[in-house]
Amino acid sequence: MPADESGSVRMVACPACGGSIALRAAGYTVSLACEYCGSLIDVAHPDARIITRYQEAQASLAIPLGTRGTVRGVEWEAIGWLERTDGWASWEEYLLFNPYHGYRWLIAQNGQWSLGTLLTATPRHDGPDYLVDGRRFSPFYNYNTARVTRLFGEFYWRVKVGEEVQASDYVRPGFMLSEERDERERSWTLSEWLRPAEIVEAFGVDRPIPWLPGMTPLAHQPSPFAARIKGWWPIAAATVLALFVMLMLFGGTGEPQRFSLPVIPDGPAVSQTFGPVVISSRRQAVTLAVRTPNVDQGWVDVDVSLVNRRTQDSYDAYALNEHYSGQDSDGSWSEGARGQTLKVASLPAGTYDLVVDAQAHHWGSTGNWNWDQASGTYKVEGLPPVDVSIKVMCGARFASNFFFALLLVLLPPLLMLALHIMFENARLEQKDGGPADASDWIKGMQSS
Amino acid sequence: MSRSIFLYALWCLGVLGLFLAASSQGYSPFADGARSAAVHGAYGPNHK
Repeated sequence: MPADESGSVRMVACPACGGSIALRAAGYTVSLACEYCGSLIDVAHPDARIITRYQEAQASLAIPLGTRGTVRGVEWEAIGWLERTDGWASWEEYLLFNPYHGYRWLIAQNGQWSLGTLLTATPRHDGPDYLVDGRRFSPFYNYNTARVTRLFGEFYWRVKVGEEVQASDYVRPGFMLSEERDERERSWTLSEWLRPAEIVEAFGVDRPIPWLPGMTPLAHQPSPFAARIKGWWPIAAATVLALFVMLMLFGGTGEPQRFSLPVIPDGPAVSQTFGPVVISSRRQAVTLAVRTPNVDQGWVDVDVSLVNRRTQDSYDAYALNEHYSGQDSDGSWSEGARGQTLKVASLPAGTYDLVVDAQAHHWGSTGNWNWDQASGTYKVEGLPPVDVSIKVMCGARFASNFFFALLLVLLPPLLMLALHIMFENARLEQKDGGPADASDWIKGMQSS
Repeated sequence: MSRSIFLYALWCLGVLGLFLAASSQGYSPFADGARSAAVHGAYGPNHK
């Protein structure tokens, strides 16, 4: 290997292309990239040898240099590649060139791709944010040191491994505004996140993996769930409105029929048949309002059955009406309900008998308590009978159906909202500054 | 119209259809029918 020395700088001839490369830290440097052909050379070995040839190295690139692809209607050629790190994360940047449109950057990180354009005008500062063409960018990464770790190909400035810049990034969904500065200059680049289909179609790279919980999205990657929530919202609203209209249209009840019977507290069960109840629709629900207005310190079990006169099919329901009250150190109290509304679903058309079995019971210390030998319990005598009144109406409004349907309609958007929040939290976890809150989640819903 | 919007619209139409069918038949999975006194466990006030 031909080599000569001049002061502290040692000149090394590239074994691949023969180009002269300056080795500035001779004795310390162990590997060196040829600035002409990109081959990586082991200079620690007495006979400097090639570690990685340019061709071998570039074969490992997702987009081999020289590849052409059309992005946003312009054909670009990949002419340079470099890898950078800020100590936390590393990313790749491909330099694209088109003789009529100049240069662009294709940035790859975590399997996602962005197209970067160097700005020719400095963005306008507005508080902590920057404005570009009226679009607002919020701070994300503050003054990180980005260092070049590997590179191949052609560049429009003298780039070398180890080159460092101070970088700050500002984002809005889908876009990142990056400021890079060193001792010589300050530049601004606007990167736009590329949809997986765009980059796959343009350069034939592997399809980016969709975000899943546990993965780290790009700082400016738009939430894939925000678009769905925004697209689904009008459909959900229209559906809820339609459900409400249907609930109102189908929830009416017919003319009521009223029946009543008295029941003695702690007396025998009373059974009585009322009717007829006629159901004219092919299938219809029936509403039964069971009231016991004078039950006190006790309860009434009411079993109701609608029995089809022709088929003897029975449709049953049960109401428990109760009412208790008293006094304690906090004052007076009362509990229980003296009325229940029962809804029996989907009765076939026909003529029905309403069979009511009711039994009233007393609870508490009022009344005259006597031991009843026959039943083996204490009985209360002298209490007035409890009036059981039943109002029967054909038809019923099932609010439960409405709320169940509402849940089914809103479940997918709510699931998307939960995923959106998880995505935004994972994205904003990387942000320099305070933790994410609801305002950040809403910002993530903004249109790009 | 994106595929996700189409699928969600289809889902909503399905829910609307089921709701309409249940309403016209007077059906509800949450109706009171078939319950009896045996379901009720304890009686009396809960006040402490």
